[in-house]
Amino acid sequence: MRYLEERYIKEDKAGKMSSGSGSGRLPSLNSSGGKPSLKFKPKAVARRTKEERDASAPKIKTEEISRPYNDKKNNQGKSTATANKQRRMARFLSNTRVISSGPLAAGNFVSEKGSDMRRGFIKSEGGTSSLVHSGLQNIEGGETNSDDEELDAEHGAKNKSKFNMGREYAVHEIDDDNDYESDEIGEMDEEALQAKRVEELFPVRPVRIRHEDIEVVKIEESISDATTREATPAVKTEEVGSELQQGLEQRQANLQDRLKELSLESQFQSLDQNETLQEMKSLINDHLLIAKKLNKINNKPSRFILFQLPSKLPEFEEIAPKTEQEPVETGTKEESDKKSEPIKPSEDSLTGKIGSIRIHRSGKLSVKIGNVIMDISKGADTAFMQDVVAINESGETPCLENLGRIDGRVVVTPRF
Amino acid sequence: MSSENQLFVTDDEDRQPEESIPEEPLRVPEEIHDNEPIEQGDDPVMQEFALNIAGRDELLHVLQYANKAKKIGNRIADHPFIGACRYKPKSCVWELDIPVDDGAFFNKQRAEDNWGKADVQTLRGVGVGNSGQYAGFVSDGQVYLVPVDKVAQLRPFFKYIDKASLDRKQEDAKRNVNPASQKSQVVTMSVKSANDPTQHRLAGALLAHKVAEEEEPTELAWVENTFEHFKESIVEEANSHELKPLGDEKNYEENLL
Repeated sequence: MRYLEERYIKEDKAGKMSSGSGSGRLPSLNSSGGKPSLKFKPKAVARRTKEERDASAPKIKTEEISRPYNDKKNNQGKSTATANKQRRMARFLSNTRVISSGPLAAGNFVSEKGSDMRRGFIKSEGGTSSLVHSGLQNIEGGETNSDDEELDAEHGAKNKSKFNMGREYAVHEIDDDNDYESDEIGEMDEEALQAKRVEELFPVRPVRIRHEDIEVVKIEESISDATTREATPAVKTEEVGSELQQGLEQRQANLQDRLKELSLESQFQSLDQNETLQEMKSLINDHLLIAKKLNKINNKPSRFILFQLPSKLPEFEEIAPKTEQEPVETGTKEESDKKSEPIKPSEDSLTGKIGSIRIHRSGKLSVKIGNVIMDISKGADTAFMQDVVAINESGETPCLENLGRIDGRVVVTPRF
Repeated sequence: MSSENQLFVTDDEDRQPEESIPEEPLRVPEEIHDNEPIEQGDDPVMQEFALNIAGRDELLHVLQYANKAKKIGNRIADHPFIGACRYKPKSCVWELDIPVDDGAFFNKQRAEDNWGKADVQTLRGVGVGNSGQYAGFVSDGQVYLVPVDKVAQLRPFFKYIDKASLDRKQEDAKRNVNPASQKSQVVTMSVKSANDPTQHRLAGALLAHKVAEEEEPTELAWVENTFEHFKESIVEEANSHELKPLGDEKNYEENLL
């Protein structure tokens, strides 16, 4: 009895469900409940069509390129199905279109030819037909003989082809070594001359970074393979070279202890020993470069280094000009000093030898001005040309003497 | 003298004796100082470049060509040809004219039609003074420092475009001689006259602009290959003066503070 009752209640509920909530899937099968379900169904359909019409109406206007695609589909639909089905196909397509232009645009079944401009913006990297892509290929492939190509060839691997206008611009880096060697190149062929001309007109070129989204995915796969392969030998080396590792660690510890002793942290204001070490390395590197430059520039005409000395220099006193009392130079120096009172030249009129740049055995540099020892470091390099000129107004016609170009900058700072 | 000379030679082999003579009196105490364990530790001096300051009366300027790559200046022959050079000493305004190469990437017809030839690229910049800047060159192992008066960054200055737009404006003004424009002109005049008595003097950047605009530039001829002459005079001047350092490190630090 109970069981029967329960069953009855269930049936009742089912009836309520079918009649109460129109979303049930059973009603369509249910012949008895067909009326209420039919009532609800057209409602749902009507809602959808409104939305879609609203959504698709402006879209069709804007997406001119996508139209033929839709038409094609429609034509296909016509051949197979009724007009009602046609509409559904169109709706379906417009739905996918909306999604594909959004953030979920990744795997789209729409072919590249049919892709409109908006979507092309997102996935242009993959599109073989896009202009940008072909341009990139030109840049990389080296098939064209444009002037740009020659330029790229000239710069070689230094300026690797990367294309991203937004990020950064390659500045023509000139190695200090190449810098001077180029002086000796006497002749230039026509191509190089042309390239130079372009270089002069367009001195700044964008760094080219090529987007390779699809290939990146592939690389990820290969990486997973590679890591599993490399993981085993890594373990081996640890086992074999444990002694070596220990030795290295010990050395590292010693070095760090030494660094601690030197207490350079406060000097460089660095966080840890590694940073200090790095700082020291770059400093010594700078010193070596300065020394090299000084030696290279020696007796070379029209080459300058810009020096920045402290605005206040140690004090000097001028011993009377030597030209007047050359015969009594060294022997009677003290006497002459007493006789003619030494002049204290002001900062602006200081002339003569003020000190020296000293290269130590370790490669470090120091500057001694007067009795004060100062540090020397490399200043920021420039990417553009710098000339030293002197205004000469003494002659009949005032002229500007081009003395030479500046090749680097050096900053001298006092030690505290 | 001879003993000093020997001392010098052992320490610094590549120095030429004729240069070393004037520096001797200074050099001797320096070397003693260098060998002090406190100062240098176990890091002796291997090579020395003497630092000389000279050329106080030279008017040295540094011109930075912001639109020319450093590479171009590598050889003297590659230096862009300077057609004309103007300088306003009071306002420190530089103007260099560089003839444009009309062989490549140059539309002669358009330049003539629109901008009245425009066959010259004008670089313009303002010189900025800075203390402690020296241009140094190395000669016979000695560094000679010449103080730099001003540093100017030169950038392309499109005077011809300004001129073209000004001309166009004037033409427009001539063409539209309708009452509306005339009326507005009258209004501006009256405003000006009302403001004049209370108007303050131009200050800051406006004044600098006015000074620069009103100043007549000096035409300077661009001369090259004068470096050797310059070098000789500087070296001579540096050698004719002898300096004796005063005080030590502490004195200097106190002086700085």
